Amino acid sequence: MVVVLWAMTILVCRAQTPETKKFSVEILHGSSNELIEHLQEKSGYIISYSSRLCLKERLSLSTSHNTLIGFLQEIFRDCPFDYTERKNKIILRPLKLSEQSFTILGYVRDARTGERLLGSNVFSGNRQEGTATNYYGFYSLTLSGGPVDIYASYVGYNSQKQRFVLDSDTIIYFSLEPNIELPEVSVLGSRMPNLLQGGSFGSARVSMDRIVEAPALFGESDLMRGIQMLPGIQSGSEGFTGLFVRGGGPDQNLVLLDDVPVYNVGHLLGFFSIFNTDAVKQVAVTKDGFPARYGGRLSSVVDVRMKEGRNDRVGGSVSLGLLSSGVSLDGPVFNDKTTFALSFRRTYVDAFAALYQLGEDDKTNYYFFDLNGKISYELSERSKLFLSSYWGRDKLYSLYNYRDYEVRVGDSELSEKVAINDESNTGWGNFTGALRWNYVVNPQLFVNLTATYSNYRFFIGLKQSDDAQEQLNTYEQRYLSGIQDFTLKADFENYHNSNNTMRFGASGVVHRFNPGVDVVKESGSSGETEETSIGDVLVSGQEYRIYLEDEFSLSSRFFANIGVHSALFVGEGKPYWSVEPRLSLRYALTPSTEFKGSLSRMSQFVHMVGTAGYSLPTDLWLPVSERIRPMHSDQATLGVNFYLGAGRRFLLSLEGYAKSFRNILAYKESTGFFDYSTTWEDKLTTGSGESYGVEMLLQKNKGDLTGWLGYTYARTNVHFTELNDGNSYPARFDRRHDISLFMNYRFNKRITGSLTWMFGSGNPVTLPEERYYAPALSWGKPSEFGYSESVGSLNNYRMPAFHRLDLGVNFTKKKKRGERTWSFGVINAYGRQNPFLLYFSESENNPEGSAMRQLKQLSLFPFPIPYVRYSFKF
Amino acid sequence: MAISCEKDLEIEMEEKGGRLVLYSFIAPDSLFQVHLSKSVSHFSVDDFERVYDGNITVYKNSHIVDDFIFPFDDAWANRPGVNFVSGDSVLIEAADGKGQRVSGKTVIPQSVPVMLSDTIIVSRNDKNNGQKKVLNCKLTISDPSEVKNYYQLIILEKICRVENEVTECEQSKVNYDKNDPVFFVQDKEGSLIGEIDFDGCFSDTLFNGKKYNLEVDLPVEYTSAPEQSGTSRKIYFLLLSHTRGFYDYYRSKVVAEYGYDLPIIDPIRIYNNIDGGLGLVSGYNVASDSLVFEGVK
Repeated sequence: MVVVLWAMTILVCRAQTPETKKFSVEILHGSSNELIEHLQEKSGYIISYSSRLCLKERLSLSTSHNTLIGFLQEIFRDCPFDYTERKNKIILRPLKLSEQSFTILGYVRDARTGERLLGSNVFSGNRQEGTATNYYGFYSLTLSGGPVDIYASYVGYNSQKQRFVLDSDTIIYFSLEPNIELPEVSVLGSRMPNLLQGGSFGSARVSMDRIVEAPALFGESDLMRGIQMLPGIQSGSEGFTGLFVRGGGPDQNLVLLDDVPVYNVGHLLGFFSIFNTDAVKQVAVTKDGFPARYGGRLSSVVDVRMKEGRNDRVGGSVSLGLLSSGVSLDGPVFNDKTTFALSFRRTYVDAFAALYQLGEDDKTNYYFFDLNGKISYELSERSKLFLSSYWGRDKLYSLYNYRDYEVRVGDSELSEKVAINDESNTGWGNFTGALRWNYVVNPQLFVNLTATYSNYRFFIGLKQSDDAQEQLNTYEQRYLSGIQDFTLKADFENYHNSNNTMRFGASGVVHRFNPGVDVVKESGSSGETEETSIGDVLVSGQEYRIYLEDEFSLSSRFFANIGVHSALFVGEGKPYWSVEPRLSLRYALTPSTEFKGSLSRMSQFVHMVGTAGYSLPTDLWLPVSERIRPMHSDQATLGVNFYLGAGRRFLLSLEGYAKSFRNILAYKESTGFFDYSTTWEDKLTTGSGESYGVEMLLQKNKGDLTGWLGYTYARTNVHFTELNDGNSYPARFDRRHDISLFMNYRFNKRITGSLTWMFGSGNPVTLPEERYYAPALSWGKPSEFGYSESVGSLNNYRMPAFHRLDLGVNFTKKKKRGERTWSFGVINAYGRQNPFLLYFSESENNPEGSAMRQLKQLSLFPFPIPYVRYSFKF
Repeated sequence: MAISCEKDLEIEMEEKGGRLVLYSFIAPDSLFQVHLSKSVSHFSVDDFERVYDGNITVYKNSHIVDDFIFPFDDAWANRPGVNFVSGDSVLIEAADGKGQRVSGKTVIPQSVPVMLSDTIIVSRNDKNNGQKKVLNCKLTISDPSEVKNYYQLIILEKICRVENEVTECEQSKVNYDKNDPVFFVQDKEGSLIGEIDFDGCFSDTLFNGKKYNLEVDLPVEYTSAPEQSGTSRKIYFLLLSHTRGFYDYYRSKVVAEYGYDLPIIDPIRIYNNIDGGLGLVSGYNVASDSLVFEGVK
């Protein structure tokens, strides 16, 4: 009771203060002095104020009913003040600069091209406070007033510093010059978004320069291969670009191209990724400590950003490789407010193959191409619009059964012969489009609105002509499958102060899954075409997501990113929802030692039904259903970073992780991908898994020699009640040891050399151990094989270890109109025969009279493969 | 793949094999047969190893009905004196001279009647020749409720000739189009990627406990009566009722064999219900209907 009375007294007293007591005034317009006098009359307070406060000749109050302090704040809206209350007297004094907060905001750009630099550090040296630019190059840093020095830095660029007195919100555009003379480059890039100095929440950025300079199969620089070199990330099999992150399958990676999810990232059955390095500005990979803004996949987020285009002039590049060539153009459109970037790449495998097959009756051929385009338009200093798109396709086709067909010319008796043929083809492709609008609502609030469309299609086609009874009939059958996504997203970033950035947002996705339709089209000589669709089933689902994330520092040593991500999936069955807490912590023990830890829960509502081992274009994406529940994972990490050497030249990072999976999918033993008489839900079984391991990364970021050495020790086991007699077994890519070494040496301004060496201990493989009698049933179809194979346990053996050395050298020379680079190198320099797959066959080396079978391995790239590439930048 | 190569590989694999393999597919009013052999190492070029000292004991409803030494020179032991009826519980035990013992058990399922309710000649699209004529047959299956049923539809052609008052018959299997949804649950997958033919094996998932009209297409050649006088063509529609064990075994075997020549596909574990060994003991039952085309008399 006493407490309540005391509290009420406090409230009553507070109600009497000039801050809380409201009253009305009659005069709303006048000079500052006139209005203050009127306020004195109405409030009963004597108002005393410093002449340093800004007095105006004419101003207006927005309301006639307010508190005294409210009225005064309106009168002195341009000069923040503090006040003291003594009896019935209010004394106003202007705030000192150091007592006021102002926001410095703007963009960090490349001085040559005008392109915004994502993840640049913006740091005040005298305040020891900083931030980083977001994915659109925007930064906002709120500091107290007074003299401030502030500089922006970005890997590969000279830092830029500005000194001034901060006495109001200030816009600063940093334009950084590329740092060519002094190669101070980061091989793995900085981590971003690193709000705070030393902070490394979120993603590891892979340097595009290093990816381009690294040795590449057939000279095709590949972004995904660069990512595969990071600890904890594996390639499934040699040559493939699929990603297996900490025990997760390739479908557990969210690959975003300018915010649009891409469902199949492989060209040529996965040997090359669809990302043209000429078109990519930056790639960042997140495999743990997922900030709350990310969701939808269990294992990683690969965020690829396309180039925007320079604003000073039109430039570009041309590259010629053994397998494909490409051309890129970018520059301003009409003025420097609008820029474009366009990149096209195409193989000429088909041209070579056509020459090789010249004169042959049947022709089989293949090509792929991709086209990236982006237009950005600066509506104002606060607002920018981006329109970006990707279109790519792979097609393998055979032309056969060439023959002549007589066509009657008009009504005459004349006829002419035309060649007709049959065709079969298969292919796949992605189309993505994104429209984004950035808007700086106020100096501390940045908003990005996004609308995206993604379409992945796989098709098999058959086209046949038949000239029976003097009529040309054509028959066409196409099998189509794929997935379409329509997404709307709003992301907000609130830079509350230099120690606190809050991000929040929401998104909605409409998925349209097309698990397979046969389209049969027939046309006769009359010109009539009949089209029939079989199995045209569309499965739809909607995903809604919201998140809230706060990145803050508790002291100069302790940083945290805490958030929650929530998702709801509404499909044809019952709805599913998830709440996913995220936490990342970092503690700087000394300037050169910091500890880090994270906890994250992820869930996934779409899954890939494929051939399991390899990510192939035939893979189907399907949503959760009544029986197939969402996949979930929980991950915890703990690590330490050591910055070593003069100028922190070396970074040694050690990290341990433990991860569990629930509701992961696998095929039942009595079925498989090619079983079409069972519904997809019946073919699958769900299970659980766990992965844990230790990762080490030693980086050298500065000097002529840069590079990194990565090592991973990992274990991943899975458990399915319906598989392997209910016993746990190693996951398909449970690789115990992984080592990756990347070194880049700059001999001089013109010559750089690169070396990559990769080692992986053997992948698990299921090998049959016994053969036994297979009965030929009187009513059954005769078996091709007189035996059955018995498999003891799944993934019961391991393949031999994999290792490979790749070497490359780049010769760059300034030319009159640009810069040309010749790249030479060799893949698999010492000709290691790495296993791609194992199989049994009759042994050729048995002594006479005895017969035994032998286990053999197939290697895809068994000898040194040289490459050459020419590129010219202008 | 053009630059790939193969080489021999040394992986230390355990020398496996030597497990007893037991098969028996048991139907009422049919000759009772049992197979016994041993598995061999996967490195062997043989498919199986004979058992020279094998013994078989057969139990019907928990009572021994047969006990014999397995004839090692035959793949199957034929036991004409042993008969079973629907609902019988059968246990087969086998042992070799080294004391290895295996067993398998099954219950003979009830037959489910099938009736040819309609036939019609229709035109179908053909991807090779535009159009083709087929005999569309409608078979009515009265699927029992409460139990899950597993079926296999086999169609046989039997041509009989009477010459000199002696009837000679030839029987062959008819390869029919499996377009009915029971064979091809084309709900969420397409068809053009190499599909697996399960040889008419299907379950009652789509019609459990209901009367179902299953449609199959036969090549039109089977609709005509033989031109030769005294010759008849009979088309048999056999509906085999299988156990779940057989269904799992047969399908997993078909899927496994699909991948034998494709090392990119992981080996499949074939279902088996033999305790201590490999193989399958499974009962089945048959119902049939037929279609007769008499030749010119």
